[in-house]
Amino acid sequence: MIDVLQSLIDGLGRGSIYALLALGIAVIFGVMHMVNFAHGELITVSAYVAFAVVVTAGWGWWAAVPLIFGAAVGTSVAVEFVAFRWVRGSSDFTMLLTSFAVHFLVQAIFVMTMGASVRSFPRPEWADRVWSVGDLNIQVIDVAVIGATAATLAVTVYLLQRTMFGISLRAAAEDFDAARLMGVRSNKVIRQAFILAGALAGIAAIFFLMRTG
Amino acid sequence: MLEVSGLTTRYGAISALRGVSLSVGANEVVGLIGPNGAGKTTLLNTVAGLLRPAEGEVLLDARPVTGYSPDRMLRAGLALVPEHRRLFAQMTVVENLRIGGVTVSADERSERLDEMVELFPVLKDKRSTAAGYLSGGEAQQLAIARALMSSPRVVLMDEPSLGLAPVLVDFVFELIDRLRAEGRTMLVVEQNATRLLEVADRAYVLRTGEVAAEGPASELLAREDLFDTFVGVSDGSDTPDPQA
Repeated sequence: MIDVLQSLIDGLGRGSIYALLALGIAVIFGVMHMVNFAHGELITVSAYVAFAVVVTAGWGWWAAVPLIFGAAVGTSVAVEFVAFRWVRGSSDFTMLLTSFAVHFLVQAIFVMTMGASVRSFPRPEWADRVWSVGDLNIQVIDVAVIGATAATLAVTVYLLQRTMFGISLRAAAEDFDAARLMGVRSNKVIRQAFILAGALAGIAAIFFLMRTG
Repeated sequence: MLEVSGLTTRYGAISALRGVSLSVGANEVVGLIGPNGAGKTTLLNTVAGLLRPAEGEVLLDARPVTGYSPDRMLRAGLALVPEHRRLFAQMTVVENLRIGGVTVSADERSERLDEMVELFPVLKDKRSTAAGYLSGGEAQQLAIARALMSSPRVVLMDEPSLGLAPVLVDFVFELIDRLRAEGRTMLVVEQNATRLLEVADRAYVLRTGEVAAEGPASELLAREDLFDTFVGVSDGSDTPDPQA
């Protein structure tokens, strides 16, 4: 029983990050009907920002957290503006190829400018702490990730169900042209979808980087 | 109020509309009738901004609005109740109405929502029901209510009575009459040509993407030769008996 509980906590701690990333991919797929293979690059960009802040500049994690989040959101919006906006309405295959192109382009840029060697940075001190509850060993980072993910999902559900932003996004996901007929601006709703996906990836990136360093 | 001149819309090499011109005056109900494939839906979709015309011009209140996107057209004051309703099936009745009022302020949206529930009492008890679970009549009323949420001055309706029970067909045409009394301008496409001509002020007959006839609705209603046009036959050899 203890093993099951231990595995459950460990699994939730790691799976929560993937849940946030998957939700971002689902938001983009809903509105654009495109599987965004470049979504993982938001974490790549965020990781280099974290490296620059924590190692190069020598600032602490308190400065890295908002910058990681901002980098993910900013990169997500930039990718939509630079790449996906121009192929909107094209065939699924064209959009899929574009997402692959963005994925390889971002990787190539970092390999050329930063090199291919693995870089690491110190993790926050509290992330390695372990709480022992009976026979259970609970990593503090797992508790933080699970809590943050639950809060993020609750806020996302509220946004999607209760706000005009969410209703517009859901309408566009169900029937894009009908949503436009209702007055939903296509550029705006897609940009908002990328902001939401970027925000979800940003939160995932913060905890992913805190865990891996 | 709405002027369309020389409108041509193509699907690839095929011209669905060929130089169509029509006008709809303020507070007027204008009918658009014709056989299947005549270009009626294409015309509405082009005017509403879902399709881009290859040629021609659309004026709304004498302002050129040709090629406007659907959301821009709505903000200019023109709404479309699309063919097959195109409700957001997974969203509730209230959410469908709220999205219809996305262009107005939150206060006005709430006010309009109450008005729509008054105007369409059937929606009152279904506020939290997903639109996909509504009956045909309820769904059609929701589609019209959703289009009215933005208080458009011009309403385009595509087959508003399609698939409805006779009693609901009566309701739809009474509603068109009521909306005209409220000062709205309407361009209505309808397969039920006789019913439409009874309620419309004027009408246009479309055939193979061109205007085949136009005039006051009462005059068109009296022209028996137009029956062939409505059912899409020309030589009379297989014309069904309209009295049958």
